[in-house]
Amino acid sequence: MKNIVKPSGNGAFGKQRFDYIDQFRGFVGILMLMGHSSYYFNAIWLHLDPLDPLFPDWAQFALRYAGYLCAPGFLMMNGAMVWWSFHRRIVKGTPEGTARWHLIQRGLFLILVQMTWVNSSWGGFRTFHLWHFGVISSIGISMILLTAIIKQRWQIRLLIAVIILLVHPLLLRIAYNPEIIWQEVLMQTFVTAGKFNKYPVLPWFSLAVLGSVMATGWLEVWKTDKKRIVMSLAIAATAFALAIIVRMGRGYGNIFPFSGFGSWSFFLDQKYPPSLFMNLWFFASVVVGVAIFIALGKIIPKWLVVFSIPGKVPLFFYAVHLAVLGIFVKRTGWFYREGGVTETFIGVAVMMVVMLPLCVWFFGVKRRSKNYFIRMI
Amino acid sequence: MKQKQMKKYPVILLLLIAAVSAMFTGGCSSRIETPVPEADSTIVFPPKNPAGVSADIILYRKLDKKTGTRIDEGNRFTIHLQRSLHALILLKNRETYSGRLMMFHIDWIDPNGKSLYRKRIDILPGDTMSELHSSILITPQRRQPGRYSIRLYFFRELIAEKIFYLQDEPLIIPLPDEELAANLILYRTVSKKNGKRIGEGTAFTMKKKRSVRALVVLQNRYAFDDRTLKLHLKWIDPDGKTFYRKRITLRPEDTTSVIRSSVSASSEKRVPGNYSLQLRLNNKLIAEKRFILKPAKAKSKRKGKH
Repeated sequence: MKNIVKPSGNGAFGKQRFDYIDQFRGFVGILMLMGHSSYYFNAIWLHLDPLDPLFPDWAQFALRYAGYLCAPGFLMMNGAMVWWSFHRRIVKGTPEGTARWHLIQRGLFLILVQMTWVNSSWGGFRTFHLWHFGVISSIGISMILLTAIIKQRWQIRLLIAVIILLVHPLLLRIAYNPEIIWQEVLMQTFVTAGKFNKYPVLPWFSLAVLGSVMATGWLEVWKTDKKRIVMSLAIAATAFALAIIVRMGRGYGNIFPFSGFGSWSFFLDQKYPPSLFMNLWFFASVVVGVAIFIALGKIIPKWLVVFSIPGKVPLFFYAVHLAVLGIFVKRTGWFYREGGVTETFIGVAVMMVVMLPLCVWFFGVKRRSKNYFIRMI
Repeated sequence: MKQKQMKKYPVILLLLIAAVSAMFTGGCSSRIETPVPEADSTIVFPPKNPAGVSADIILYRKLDKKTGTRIDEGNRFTIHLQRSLHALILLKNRETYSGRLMMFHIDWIDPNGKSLYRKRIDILPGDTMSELHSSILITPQRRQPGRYSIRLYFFRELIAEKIFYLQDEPLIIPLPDEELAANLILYRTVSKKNGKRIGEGTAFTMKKKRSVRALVVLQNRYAFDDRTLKLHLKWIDPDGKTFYRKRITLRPEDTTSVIRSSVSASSEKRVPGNYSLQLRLNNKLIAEKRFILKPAKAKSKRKGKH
């Protein structure tokens, strides 16, 4: 760990921040806001089934598909930051057990946030909806599991991720009865998607592990931005190629059929839970995305502040924008699912105007605060 | 040296952004997004490739059991007890995909834009099927009057849509001048003083010795004074069974244009629920009216003051 590179940029956490990670995380957060804005304003959601999506036109398809980057983006960035945080603490002399416990607490906190705040915020807190898992709890559980292997070499972590990715399609064949609670909870927590949880841990954990592997390259091994970009693109190209091979095989690793190479349906395999194709495809997409932000940071660093701001407080950005939309749109019924793509983007613009100052404010609070919960957010 | 490196970034970046844009937005649509209405009112999103799959959607009420022909084709249908609405989808250029799996979704959309029923149909390689079927119930318990649609998706892309209307009003079969039609009026009784109808409507309270009466006013009767008309009045219960049938034969010399019929509305003979009255000419539906029988309110026992 002697080789951990100095973080680039001049983030407010000083050496602890990597601008391109913040920016990409912010970008993913804004995509998430776009998805949520669509969920609340876009009339397509009157009949769109996320588990079996159908689209009337290209714009609606593109709007929905762009959001598919969010969960892989969050999971991989989380995995990268877990790796970074753990090793930074070890370098500073923190005992391993303490460093792990810190991450486990954060994971547990995320599960708590999901079950208390996030679940209920969808409906504007009209009802308290505890009994549900989602993407935040999946990130939390992944974080906890990651602490067990975070000290391993990147090759071992990569092997673990690949094994999970390869085995997961086989686990999806396990039959279970969702009416029996223990079966529903067990299967939907870890393997498949359903009413209880659309983000089962196994496939998403593998992406978190891959994020930690990529962090080894981005934050430790590759010393220059050029190297980071070149290596990221090479890895992404390999993953894209593998994804295409899996998809064109039309068998193992596929869930939804497709009409032909390059069509909508080619790109649109199952998201809940993701197929092997989707995992490979979006792993590659996230890696390309990070490479783009590294490059953008060299050309237009000041323009990227719009991404840095939410990217520094991603959980706050996620939890608050969702609650605002839930309260002001869902609960009041104001323009709820009456618009289309244009209205979705207007919603995003308005919410960004609301959220950016709030994020700046909260980032300041978080820096100054020693409160346990504030620092957890 | 550093400046040279800086100059390279925009090129790399442009290539990256182009690649990512292609990935996230380039999922090519196989359809022309400007819809084309066809003669049968199916809205079609034509394939960019002329040999691409497209479809026509035909809606009808039922199939004739004897001849197999479709009855009541169109895009306006009456909500009725135990009635279904069927869709037949005729695929065009289906042979383009012969030997390959084809995935279709049929989605029925209600007047609020919500999906009320969705069906996925996979045509497996080797299957030569070129027609798809789907149906929904259009009973009063399940459907409201309004503008509905049925959409057909091919590999998750919308390729055809048909708008249709469900109506609550009595169905009157198209009324060209030379066709018989009828107006059905339901009422409770007739005033003994002035002969006026009392309690006209479609909801009646069940009581002992109470009846529901029907007045059938035939329209265009004059156009049929040269032949014998065989009419049936059918009173149909909430289970869809005919509990009373009245046969009326109007001979050419008979100039009657009004028919009356009544049934008991007592709780001993009827159950609460949705009923209907149908008028048929040679077994073809001419007019229909739905009505509800409601149970009488129980009398509350008043406690006397002490």
